[in-house]
Amino acid sequence: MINRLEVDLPSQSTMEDLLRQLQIELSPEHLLLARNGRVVDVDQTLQEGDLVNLMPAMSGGTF
Amino acid sequence: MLSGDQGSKNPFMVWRVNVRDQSFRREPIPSSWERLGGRGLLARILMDEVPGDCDPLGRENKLIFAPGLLVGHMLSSCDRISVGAKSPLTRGVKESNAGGRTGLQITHLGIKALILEDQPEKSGWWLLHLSTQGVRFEAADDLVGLGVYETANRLLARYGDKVAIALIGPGGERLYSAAGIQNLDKDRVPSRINARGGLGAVMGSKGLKAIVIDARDGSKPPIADPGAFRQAQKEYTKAVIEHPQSELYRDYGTASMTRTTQAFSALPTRNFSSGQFEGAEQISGEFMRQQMLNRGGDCEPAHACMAGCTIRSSNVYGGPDGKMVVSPLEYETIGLMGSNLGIDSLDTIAQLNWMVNDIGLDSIEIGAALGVAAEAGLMEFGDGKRAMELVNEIYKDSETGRFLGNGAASTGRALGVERVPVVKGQAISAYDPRAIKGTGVTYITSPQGADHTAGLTIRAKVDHLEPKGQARLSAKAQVNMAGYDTLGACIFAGYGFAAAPQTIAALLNARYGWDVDKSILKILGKETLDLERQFNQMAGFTKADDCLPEWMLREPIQPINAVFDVPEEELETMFDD
Repeated sequence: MINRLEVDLPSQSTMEDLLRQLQIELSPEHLLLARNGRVVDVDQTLQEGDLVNLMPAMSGGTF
Repeated sequence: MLSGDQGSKNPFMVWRVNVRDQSFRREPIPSSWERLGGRGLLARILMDEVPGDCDPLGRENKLIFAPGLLVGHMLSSCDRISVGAKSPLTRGVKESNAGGRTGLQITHLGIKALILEDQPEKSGWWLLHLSTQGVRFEAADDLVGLGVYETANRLLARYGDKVAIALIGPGGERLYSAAGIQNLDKDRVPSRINARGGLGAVMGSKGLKAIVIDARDGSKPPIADPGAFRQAQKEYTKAVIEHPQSELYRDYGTASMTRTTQAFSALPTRNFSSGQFEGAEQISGEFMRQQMLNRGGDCEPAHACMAGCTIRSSNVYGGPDGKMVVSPLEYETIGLMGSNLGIDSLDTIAQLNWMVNDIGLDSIEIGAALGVAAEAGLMEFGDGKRAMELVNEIYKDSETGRFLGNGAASTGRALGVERVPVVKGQAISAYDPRAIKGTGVTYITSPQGADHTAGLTIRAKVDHLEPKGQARLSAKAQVNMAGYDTLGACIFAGYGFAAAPQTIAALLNARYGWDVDKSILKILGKETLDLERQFNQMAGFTKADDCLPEWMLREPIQPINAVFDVPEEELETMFDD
């Protein structure tokens, strides 16, 4: 069971690049993406030392 | 004709019980009640029959059990029972719903709403026995003072394994404002609780220890168009099963929330003094699942509280020897009795959970109360053993136990603590409102008081720290939740309905012979909220009550350093179309 993972990415990489690298199967619409504790979009650029959380998201008024 | 089916074996009726003269009447359903169920029906009945300014523990308050509109056919995750009254805790409208057996069986007796009214003249405890024959009062003095688990065992031995039971523990007998009503789950464990707002105290004030429901001679509610119902049921069930969230709840339960609130600085820690807890990992859903798999025995990471539920978000938590400690162990308890107390041991939290279940109390409210007590120095944060000693004080009904058993606000008053995390007198759930601002809006604007199930926003794809837009988000969630509560649907069934929204109208139309369209969820939700607000107005609430505690407005939550700063103008217009 994975608790925490360190990932190396080229600079200017985005959340989307991270998801691809991790081979996350869930589509972004089902994911809440957080960078350093704040929700961001898939096109968010990441920086050295960022703490990223990937969480299940909901839509349709049932959050 | 009501319920849409002529010549039905099971015409629904209102069952009215007076606990003073022990009389019972079956009444036809008033037309304005017909198209409501669950929470919406409760609000309607309270508006029609209960004076908003009544004493919640007095003669004029009524305790009402109302199954939701879709309850009765083991539709996945849709057999919930709503219980309501004027709350002794918030002193406003209160609905609290639970899973388990009660909802299903109550509909098999053809009960639209069970209304318990008045108050006994003489001392003495009773249980109600409900069957197709009607209602019988039976003496229950031999059960007084017994914990919920022992009481349930005795009642099952007396009435057989097939009954549903709604009962109170010593907490409800003593009229503690944090007392709930426990229901048997499908495995006869009495831990599906109508928890929030002190409904157990209302039941106690009516001299009732338990309600036993024997629906063996009953029948499923009639369906106007069985073919259409089956079709809609198939579509809905498929949508539930296929939703990725269902798998998450099955594997990790609600405890999967811990890492998320930790990530957002929203995990209540040491009486809401921080939003991140250094022990969060040890109380996460992932940790719990691995521990259960390792321990085996009675441990079940996935468990259905209602028969036929395909989500199975409940669990059975076993100790180091694999023997069941408590079922379920849910996120709210993990938050309020774990991180909120600085406790990082699931075994300790599970034990605390069992104890509050046995007394018959809301674990959120008691967790918050213990957090306030820790702030006052009655225990050190992190001292699990001491936390158990304090819960033992509640068992013993000592002076300390009494203010704890009456909840967080009562504890704060007794000990002179300012940092009490409540809205409208009810404890805040395990999502810090300063970090999840939309949920903060729900806490302050819901007629129910600080209630996350009234409109949780944490899984919405928004920046939870952005003050703008949160009010609208909360309003949307509140309307939808009020709608689901009126249908008798578990919140988690909501994903299925959200993915296949046409099925709500399809199911209702097929069941009742109505002709509603996809706006029905919102219509039900809005009507429910309107009625609840009206009741609260009559109970003396004003806009001044729609706010977080002053200390919480002052103090930013760390480490994210966030304050609750949702603009006032947005709150004023949030429910406008």
